Amino acid sequence: MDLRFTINGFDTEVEAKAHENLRDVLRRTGFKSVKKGCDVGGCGACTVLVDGKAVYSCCVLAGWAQGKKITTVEGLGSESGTLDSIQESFILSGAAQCGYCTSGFLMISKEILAEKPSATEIEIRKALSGNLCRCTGYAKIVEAIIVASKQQSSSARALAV
Amino acid sequence: MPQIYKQSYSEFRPDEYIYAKSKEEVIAILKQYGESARIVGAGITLHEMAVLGFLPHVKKLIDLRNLGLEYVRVEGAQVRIGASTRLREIASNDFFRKDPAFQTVSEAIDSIPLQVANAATLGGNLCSAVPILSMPPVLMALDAELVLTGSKGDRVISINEFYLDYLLTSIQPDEFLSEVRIPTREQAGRNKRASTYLAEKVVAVDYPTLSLTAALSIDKDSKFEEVRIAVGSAGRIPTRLPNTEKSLQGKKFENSTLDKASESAAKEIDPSADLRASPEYRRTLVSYLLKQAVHKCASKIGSGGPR
Ligand SMILES: Cc1cc2nc3c(=O)[nH]c(=O)nc-3n(C[C@H](O)[C@H](O)[C@H](O)COP(=O)(O)OP(=O)(O)OC[C@H]3O[C@@H](n4cnc5c(N)ncnc54)[C@H](O)[C@@H]3O)c2cc1C
Repeated sequence: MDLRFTINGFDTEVEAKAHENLRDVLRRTGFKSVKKGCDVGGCGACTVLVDGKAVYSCCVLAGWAQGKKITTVEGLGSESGTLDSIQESFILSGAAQCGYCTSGFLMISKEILAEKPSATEIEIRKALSGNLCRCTGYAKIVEAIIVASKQQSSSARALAV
Repeated sequence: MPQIYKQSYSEFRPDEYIYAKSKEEVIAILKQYGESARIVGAGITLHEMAVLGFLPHVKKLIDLRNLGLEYVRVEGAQVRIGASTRLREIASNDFFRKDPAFQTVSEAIDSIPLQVANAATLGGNLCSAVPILSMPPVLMALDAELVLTGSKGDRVISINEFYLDYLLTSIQPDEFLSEVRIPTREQAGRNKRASTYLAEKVVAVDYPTLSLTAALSIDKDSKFEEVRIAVGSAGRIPTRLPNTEKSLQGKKFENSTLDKASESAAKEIDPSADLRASPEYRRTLVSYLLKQAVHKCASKIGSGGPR
């Protein structure tokens, strides 16, 4: 079947089979930040944003994403190569070790920061419960999100002045 | 993916993903292909079933997006929810966030990982007919009705008559779920009503080991009025606990009443053993969750009870 959706702002057309999941189609199209982890929903490594909301791309069918707007890590930051503030924040906080889970964490962080910029640590931890990290533990990841949210709110204040 | 899963997933080979244009088209496809046609909400349960090798016969997938079934309408005597409405959309509706009588809905959805609730549809959650899902018991405790659309038109049934056995509902081969209706008739006494969802999970992201929803009202003499209790992961189908409900109705909110009710709940469920828990553990759990849920409802109502 022919699928048309927007990936990271670009209209994209791909061929897919009816049984294929969104993750496999994204990876085949070149978006390798979308990781294959548990394969049944729960580890979060395949998290992408669909119309701005985090979704496990492994357990939704590709056909379901028809016409929707998809964002992956490749779409964060600017075209000229500057990183998104959440990526900067992950680097500064040392929130990645092996890195396999990182793209999923970045994408869920984008939703948290967009929906609840002033989320408390407990709310952040709860929102992260659908993502697993098996090496750093979660302290640095939570810290990175808190730092990014503070930056976000101070730059919002700066703009308001 | 472990080898055994790879093998079973490779048997899931539908040949067409159809964006149906009307309910007539949906019904026509269901009539023509019967068991080998499946409706897709977000496909999350379908994915799990494909992995388990349950769907080798499925040939046609039917997407309902063009039918306009994504809505939450709070009307006079009822709330209507379109079957394709995403769970997160429902939970973020003020009606389910704020009204204590219906808060169990948002509490249940909040317990599901964001990456699932953002995509999963209410229709898919209900029609999965897997007893470990959260929304069936929640809607049973709210006495919801289901609108089933088929070649003979719409038929409205109580959700309490929907589940027949594991993976089996009373939906007919040429029917699909189009709407869920939640009665709000108790609105007059609204401030005395409350509902809550409680679940035990082995880890944060897991299906409930047991889930319980309570919806009840307490009068000014601290007596339980209408009481509805429903459970998930406690047997082959999600179910109400009528004996337990009766043991509370009309009784005073005190420890001896709660003790009797939780004994009744432990007897009334018919749990099996699985990787999450033994039947005995589930009986202990239901007693415990029942008491917790009643206390939680009471505190929402602002009714003092036993300490
Ligand atoms: C990690 C993880 C944790 C989870 N935890 C929970 C939890 O705690 N609680 C919980 O409740 N769920 C939980 N889930 C399950 C999830 O909520 C369900 O799989 C989801 O709600 C199903 O919705 P869907 O739209 O994807 O259904 P689909 O998979 O699209 O459909 C499910 C079934 O219903 C049928 N169907 C769908 N819509 C209709 C319709 N309108 N009419 C007739 N038949 C229809 C389909 O044909 C299919 O047989 C979890 C899932 C994962 C991956």
